[in-house]
Amino acid sequence: MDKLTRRTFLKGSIAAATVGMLSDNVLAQMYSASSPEADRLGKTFRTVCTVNCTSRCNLNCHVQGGKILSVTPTPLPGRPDYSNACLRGMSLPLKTVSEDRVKYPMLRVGERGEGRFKRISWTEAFDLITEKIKESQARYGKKSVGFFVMTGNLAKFAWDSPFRFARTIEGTSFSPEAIMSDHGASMGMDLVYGQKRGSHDSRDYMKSKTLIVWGRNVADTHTSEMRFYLNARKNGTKIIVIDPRFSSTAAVADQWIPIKPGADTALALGMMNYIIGKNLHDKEWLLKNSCSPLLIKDSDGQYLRIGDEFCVIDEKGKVVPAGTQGVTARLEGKAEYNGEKCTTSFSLLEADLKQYTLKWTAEATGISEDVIKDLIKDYLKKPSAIRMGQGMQRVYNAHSPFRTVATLAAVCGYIGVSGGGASHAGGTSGVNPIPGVNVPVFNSAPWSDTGGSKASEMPGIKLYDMVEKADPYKIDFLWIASSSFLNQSPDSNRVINEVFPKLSFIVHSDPYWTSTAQYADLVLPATNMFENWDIFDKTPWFMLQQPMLRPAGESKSDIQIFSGVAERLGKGEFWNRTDEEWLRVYLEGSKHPAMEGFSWNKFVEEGIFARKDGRFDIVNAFTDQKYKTKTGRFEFYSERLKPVGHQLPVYTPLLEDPKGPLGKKYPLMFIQYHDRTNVHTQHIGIPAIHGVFKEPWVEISSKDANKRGIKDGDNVKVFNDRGYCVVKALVSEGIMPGVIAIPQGWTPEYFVEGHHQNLTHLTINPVEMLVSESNFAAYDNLVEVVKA
Amino acid sequence: MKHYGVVIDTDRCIGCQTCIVGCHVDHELPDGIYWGKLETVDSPIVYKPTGKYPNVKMRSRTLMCNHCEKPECVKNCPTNSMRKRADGIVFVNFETCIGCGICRDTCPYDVPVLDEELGQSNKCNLCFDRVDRGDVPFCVQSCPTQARIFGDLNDKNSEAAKLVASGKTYRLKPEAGTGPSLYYLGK
Repeated sequence: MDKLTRRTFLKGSIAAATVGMLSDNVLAQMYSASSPEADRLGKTFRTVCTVNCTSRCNLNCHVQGGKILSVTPTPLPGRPDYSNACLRGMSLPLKTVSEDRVKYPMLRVGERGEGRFKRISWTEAFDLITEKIKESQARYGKKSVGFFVMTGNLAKFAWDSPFRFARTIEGTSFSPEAIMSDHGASMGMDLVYGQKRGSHDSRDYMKSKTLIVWGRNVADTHTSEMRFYLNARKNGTKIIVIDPRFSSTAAVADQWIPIKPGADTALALGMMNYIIGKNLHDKEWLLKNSCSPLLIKDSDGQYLRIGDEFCVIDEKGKVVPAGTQGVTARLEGKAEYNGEKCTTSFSLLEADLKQYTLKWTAEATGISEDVIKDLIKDYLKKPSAIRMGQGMQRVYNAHSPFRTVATLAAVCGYIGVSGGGASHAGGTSGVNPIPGVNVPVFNSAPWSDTGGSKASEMPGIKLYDMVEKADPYKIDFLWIASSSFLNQSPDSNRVINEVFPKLSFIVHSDPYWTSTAQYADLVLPATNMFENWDIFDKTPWFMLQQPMLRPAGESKSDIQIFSGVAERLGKGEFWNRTDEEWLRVYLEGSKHPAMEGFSWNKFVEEGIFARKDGRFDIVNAFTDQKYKTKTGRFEFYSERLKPVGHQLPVYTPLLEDPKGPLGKKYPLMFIQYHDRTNVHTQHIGIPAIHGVFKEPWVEISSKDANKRGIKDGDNVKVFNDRGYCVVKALVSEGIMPGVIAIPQGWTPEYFVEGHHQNLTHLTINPVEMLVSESNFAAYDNLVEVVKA
Repeated sequence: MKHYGVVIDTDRCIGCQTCIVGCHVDHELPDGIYWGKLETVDSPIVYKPTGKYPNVKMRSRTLMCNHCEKPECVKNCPTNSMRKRADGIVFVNFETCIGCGICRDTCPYDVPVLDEELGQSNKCNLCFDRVDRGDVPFCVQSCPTQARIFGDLNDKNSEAAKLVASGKTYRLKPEAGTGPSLYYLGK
């Protein structure tokens, strides 16, 4: 009987009726009445999806008989238009109750990678971890115990538990953003805006004449925002997508401009040169809000200061502090101060841009001069917007693309302007500041308290070197949480053959049997977002996750897993609450007026709380034209980067450049992309999705395919010196010749052979290390493709 | 009398298949059975763009039961298991369906699918349970880009009826003469 599902079978009570005698309407209504949504014995729970796309949808889960039968979108307080759920969120409950779950602590019994494990008890698991941590601590010191997290679960406590545990035992924690190839965006934003994020509300694009979606496939990666783009388009906004491949977003845009991977910086520089050369830049905006008029010393490339003040040239040609009352500064020019020759940063930019002629830009980007000119014309229609995407920053010198594209927007006077903006974040976050309130919104002190101990916080990008070469010190024990590290990190062959063998012990805590788990010594079953208590702060709301399903097998929440080890290491006093207690202390302990009216019971019932200071109207960053940079202005000139020649936005070719020597052997540029099937690895193999998306493929242009005798559906081998994969081909007119693309997230079992991360590399860039942290250049790879 | 229909705006369709996969989950359909289907217009392979680089298109169009005014499946079903409600919704009576496949063979749109395990025909019922409760079908509610508009085509004030009246919509295979209640919008 359990094969008979709710809509496909008439329930027993109705079956007894003589259906032949009933009218079609009555019969159908009886079917209706038998649907579990009508006679549901269970309950509807609201939760928040905390896998790391950028949406964080609030979901209604309809639970009956220990299963989530359906997931539907749910309106948000203050934002009825922001009701969303996608195929991924709707399908994840199926994986929650599947055989893909880790159900018990599992100890490796075969070789690493062999996939042979035996079930052990939690007591044995905790004892073993404790013993192994102590061994590594004794051999290499406390810092040799490392904790690595990616974004498998971004809920507050699940995400933060490993970091907190690292602090508790004075181990090492790793920053995840660069090794997951997203840090170039933060670096670029930080350089010019003085902050890593600066969201521009997607609803505001209704006011844009042109919207350039640059290196971003919003439709598949920020699905919940896509409706606002389409609304804007219907309203007359011209949407232009710049991307090496014809993405789902490009398919519903007005224009697709294919670009060579890594050439986004070149395009923005060429556009700026053209715009300034034709005197079409927004001089007033630049003068007022950017570093443009500030003087740079010719001698050392640093900003000229009088006392603490940055300096400008006044209307009489005199050097004065920028804050001088009534001064009208010059945008361009040179001046001398105390024998020091100086130039305005705008003049430096203007002079430097001259090298990026239209001809050069067309050559560097693969975009014709005419298309570039039309693009400029469209973008100059005031106001116009740019939505940036991480796609453009997954290359060597990852700090450059966002920095340069934002500078293009600044040159046109579009930053902080309605209908304009240049950022990668869509907006729902907004609050009205309450004057005089300086207490934190959440009572975070108890969770922060680990008795004064601190973790050694290291760049994630250094992990391989630390394990392999003890550079700068040894990591001997590694705990990987909320991450299929092996599937999502660069150069899998290096990880398997050089990194993992130099680790004494690997713990992997995750809800699912990932490909990383196959190499772990101990795999621990973690609960997922339908099984545990947690919250997600999506200002102006915070959203609840609560147990609506029984945990799979003996799964424990991340908090409770670490609590078990903490107790054995003598740190139990800092890890002595239940998950629910941690949430309540965090929320109910708040003294902030934003929490006025908060009641735990109501929160549990409703699953969401709208902050009292929340804003639900359109909120854009930088409308006050205040920047947290050193100059307090939009800062395209970085004195800090003068020693490495990156003081101004600068184009550098790809590390693996098809025009360089490696291009002779490996002529094709390999990029990855997010497709609609999965966020990262979580949704791979869910039968509901798998029925419509069977496997990854490599998109190859017909020009490149014909040269190699490749047809649709052929198995092809993609390879370079680091490794290979065999995958089916899709011969496409929707990808730039010279580029191939494979969707990320797919796990090794869905490839005919190998895996796409065998092709990637981890190369630390000293310039990026100076800016902040070197980014995994995931789209900076050369390969060759042959028929398999 | 009501006449339910759906207008699908392909200018807004991103081909994500949330309507198709979500429907499959919500209706607890067996593995491999979906009530909807995605096509990339004029392309033999879904998601393979048409045209010549760089002037390409990838128009996503979702297909499902057309809930025809004169459904061939209802007309030809030997056991009278394919039924049509007064409001236009066509559904399968699983109590009597013998899975002979005639509905599938006579449907001009290849819509009914055979559930091999149950030996029965299976297809979209426009979520009549939700409709009866005053909700919209699941696919309509869940579409992330709001590309689907559900309504009573006999109600001149409904958004769906207005779109149909605008003359901008089209139906698939009108020559089959079955009168689909599914309309498409977009170039």
